[in-house]
Amino acid sequence: MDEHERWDAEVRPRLVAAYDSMSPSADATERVLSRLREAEIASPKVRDPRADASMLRFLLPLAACVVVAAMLLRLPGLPRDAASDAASDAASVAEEEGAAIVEDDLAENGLAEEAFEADPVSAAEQPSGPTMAERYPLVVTPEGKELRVERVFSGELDGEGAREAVAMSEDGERSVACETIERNDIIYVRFSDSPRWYSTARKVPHSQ
Amino acid sequence: MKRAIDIEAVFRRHFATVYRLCYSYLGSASDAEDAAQSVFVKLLDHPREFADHEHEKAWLIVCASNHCKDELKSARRTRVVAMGERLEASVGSNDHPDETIDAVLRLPSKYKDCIYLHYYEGYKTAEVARMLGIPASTVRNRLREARALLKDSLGGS
Repeated sequence: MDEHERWDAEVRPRLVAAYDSMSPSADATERVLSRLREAEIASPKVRDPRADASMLRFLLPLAACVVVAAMLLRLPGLPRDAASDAASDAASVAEEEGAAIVEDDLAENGLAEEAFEADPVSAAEQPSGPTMAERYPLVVTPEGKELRVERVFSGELDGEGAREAVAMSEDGERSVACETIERNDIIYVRFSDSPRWYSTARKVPHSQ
Repeated sequence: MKRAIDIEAVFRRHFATVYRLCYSYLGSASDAEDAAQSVFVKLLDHPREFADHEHEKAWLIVCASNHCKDELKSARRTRVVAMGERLEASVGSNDHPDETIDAVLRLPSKYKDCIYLHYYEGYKTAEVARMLGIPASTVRNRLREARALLKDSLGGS
């Protein structure tokens, strides 16, 4: 009989008996259970996590529907991210419906999408005089939403000159971050989720 | 409002296991009661979903083990009563096979959960390792060392 076998045969049963004798008495069990029931009644956390999960499963789609409906109705006070997402979605839709117009616009100005990407506007090329926001107070997004350009940032982005505009809707509460570039008094806008450039539908001459 | 967890059902399934482990750590019935109660209250306060009863049991065992280690480390406990005195008081009763219980209770804390889980609850070393978050080799070493200690305590029987 080796060491392990001897252990299993001689010591292990005694060990098991020892642990058995450490088992709680019926009185102890009832005593602790009673205290636990009291604690349960007093506990503020008596909610079922599965019930919470069910509620979330119901609320999340509802919240998504509300956001989409609000975007369609242009309700004010929406968070920026929701507005941005909606604009991106709309831009994708516009790719289907308005791409021809935009591309015509680009062609008229002798510009192509690739050209913008290969030749981004650098800070040195920024026009002097009125700011872009002053010259182009309104940008019309592909889905037809009018946005007021509030701020335009210029500078280096990933080693290249770039601009980012923060445009705000007419009601002044919604803003959309987008990338812009200007050529021949037309602002081209690219939304974050779309590779396509869209031109502004309205341009305001320098003199204004 | 729906209950977070059927705490009474969980209690009835696992109280004895939790209590025995707590007893083996703390060496007294009253401390084991308090500790086991704390473990179930913890579950009550932080309800969670378990994959099955084994998962539930494993969580309670680990929770009990950690709770008891904390208790033993607490300054209050070490100040109020020396472990040796407590063991003498609790082990001396006639309804226990004293020698073996004494040997188990005198084991250093690090061996207690391994010995209990492996030899009493019947978990394999790999399962004990997974449950306690330590390597299986460490569990095997602890079991070997604990066996040697028990063998010495039990007079080489």
